[in-house]
Amino acid sequence: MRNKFDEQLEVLNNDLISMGALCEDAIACAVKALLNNDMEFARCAKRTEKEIDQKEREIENFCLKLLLQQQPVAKDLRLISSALKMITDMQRIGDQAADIAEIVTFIDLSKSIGDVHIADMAVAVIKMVTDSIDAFVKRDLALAEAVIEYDDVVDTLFSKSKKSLIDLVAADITRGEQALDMLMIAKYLERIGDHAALIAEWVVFAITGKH
Amino acid sequence: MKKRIFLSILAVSASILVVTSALIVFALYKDYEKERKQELASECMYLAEAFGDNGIAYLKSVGRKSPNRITLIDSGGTVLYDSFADAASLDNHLDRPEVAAAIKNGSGEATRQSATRGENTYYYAMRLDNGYVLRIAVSTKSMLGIVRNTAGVIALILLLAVAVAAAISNLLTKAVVKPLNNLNLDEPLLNDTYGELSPLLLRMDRQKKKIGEQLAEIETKQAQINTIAGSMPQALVIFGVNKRVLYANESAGALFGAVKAGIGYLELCRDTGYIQAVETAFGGYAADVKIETGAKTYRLSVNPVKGDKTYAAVLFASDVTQEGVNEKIRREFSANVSHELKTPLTSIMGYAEIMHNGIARQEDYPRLAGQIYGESKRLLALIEDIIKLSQLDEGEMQGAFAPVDLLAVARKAADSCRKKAEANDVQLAVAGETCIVSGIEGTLFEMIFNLCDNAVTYNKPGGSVEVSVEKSGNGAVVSVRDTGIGIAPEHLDRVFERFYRVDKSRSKETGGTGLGLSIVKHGALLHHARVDLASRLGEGTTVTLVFGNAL
Repeated sequence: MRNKFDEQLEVLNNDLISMGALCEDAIACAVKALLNNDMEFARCAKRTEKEIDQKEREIENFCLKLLLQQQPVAKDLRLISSALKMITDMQRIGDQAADIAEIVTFIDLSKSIGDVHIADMAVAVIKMVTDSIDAFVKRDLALAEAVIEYDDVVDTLFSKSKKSLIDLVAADITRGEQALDMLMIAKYLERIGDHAALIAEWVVFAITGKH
Repeated sequence: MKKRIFLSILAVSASILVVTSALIVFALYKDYEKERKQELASECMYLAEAFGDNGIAYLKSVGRKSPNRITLIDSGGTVLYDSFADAASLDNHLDRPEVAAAIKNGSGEATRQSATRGENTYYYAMRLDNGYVLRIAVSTKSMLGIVRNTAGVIALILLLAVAVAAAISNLLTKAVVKPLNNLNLDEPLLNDTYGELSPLLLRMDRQKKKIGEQLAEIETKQAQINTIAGSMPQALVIFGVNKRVLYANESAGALFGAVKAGIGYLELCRDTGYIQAVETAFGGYAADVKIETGAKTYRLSVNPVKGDKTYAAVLFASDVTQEGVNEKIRREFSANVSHELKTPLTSIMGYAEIMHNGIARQEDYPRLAGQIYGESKRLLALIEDIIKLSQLDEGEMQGAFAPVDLLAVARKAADSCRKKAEANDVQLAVAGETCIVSGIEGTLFEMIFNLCDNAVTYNKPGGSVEVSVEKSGNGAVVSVRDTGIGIAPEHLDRVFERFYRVDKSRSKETGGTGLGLSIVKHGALLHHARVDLASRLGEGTTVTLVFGNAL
């Protein structure tokens, strides 16, 4: 019986890693679409978002099944409950990646994106998502804490980006719409960073039991 | 071991104890019984004698003191006197076997047992002269009674036996086991111990040798595999049926980061292509995929290995970054070749068309023909260069190595350039010593000629070109120094590329093909020589060919 439970936990672990990989794909596609104004990548981001939603439902059902049938305790319970929380954050990351892709399909921002710190934000956010999933995969407490710390970097970049966008509009009012779209994208990226930090917090919980 | 020895000793001593005491009790009892019976008979006789003299009063006085039961019975069986009971209360004794026998034969005896009291009672009766019967009886312990009485002692002895058995077995076990514990198992044959153990030790020795051989063999094989797999530039990862890493070589570490045996396949990498490929292999089908990590491109080939029901997988990854770059260079080269060939041909066709259609005036014909001639020459030079390059690429001339004097070749190359140098007002000088290297004269000439040609072409009027050939250690160095226009640092890395030109507009008028330095580079590769390029914009360029081994 325990043996079967261990197998099920391994399946859960693998599912979570796969879902994390999908999130990394989604955001990588969205950022590529943004930087190169490539519609193929925008479609890829949206497609991946659907897969992520599907995966979220699967993992959710699986977790509930495990809770009911195996009545886990201690470490196992922590893993399952943090999995339930993590998939919500992962699913939000997918949503926001798709939202960025959606904006990209309407307006070409590839020329101006570099001037307003959004490209830097994108790089920082991808790093956060990758590191948070890595922290989960390797059960790396230090890395998880580093991700939580790193959220400040993204927040700083966001406020810088906001200031540059204000300057942009002040200098050339005709670029107002562009600026608004870029602000949305910056906000989405900042939210993705928050979700990555939350995932890292759940990783910390799964390892230590503290939250 | 100890327990068994203890139990055996105990069983032996206990059974000996029981059997001996039983036998002794039995033998002694028989003797004792016999004696008592005789005593009883003689006592009866004395009593009978005394009774004859003194009458019943004597019997009564003896009966009060004697532990034996004395009974006097008349010939009718009526009890006249009994020393243990009131005679009147006793019934007729004629049916008692000893009384009946005494009346009949003169004497009689009988034994009656009382199991409850553990006693035997012996009766002895004799007929007196007056017809009366005198009976005397004694009660003794039965055998069972004796055993019952001595049970305490026997139990005590048994306890003692247990203690002694325990002590002896303890000592014995220690003594027996001590040599066994002290056996030198590493060298079974060197032991001096019980002879009974020698077959075991012999066999142990044989097996030890066999195991040692097998272990050494396995280690050798393991080392071979590790060496082969470890020195492979390709990454090799083997997954077990539980989808966890069984083995990963060193190159796998470069691709996936630290890979420990036992980690799950998803912990290596989360690239979608990788995950799909590995899962396909676990499903029983081979998969081939390219993944990009950082700046590198890897080709992964994942193959299933059939287990009982499920599949294990073997992943093989090779770095194809360079292949991609080479592929790109080849594509660019073919695009460039077609473009470079097309340009002069288009001009030739244009001029020829004008002449063919008769549009040109008669006096323009020589000029047009001259243009066609010039362009054809350029085309021919280009084709020749391409042929040389492809020959160098394919290493066709590998076989033609022979001793070549570099100084002579340099002189010849410089002479070929002299006319052009004079036309461009450039001084051309060759200096140095004779250096013989193993090489292909044609190719070496081509290389030095190209360098000289470049040095002259990209020079300033009044400039100079110095070619020097010198020995250096075991090798030789050919350097071509000019005082020309130089090459900007950003172009330095790329001038050896095919069709690469620093100044595209200038090249057209100077008539280069863009393949000269490429030929030098490939020629140098063929000769295992190094090409060094040093240049300062506006001041000049020095190209040095360093040959490793002079003859």
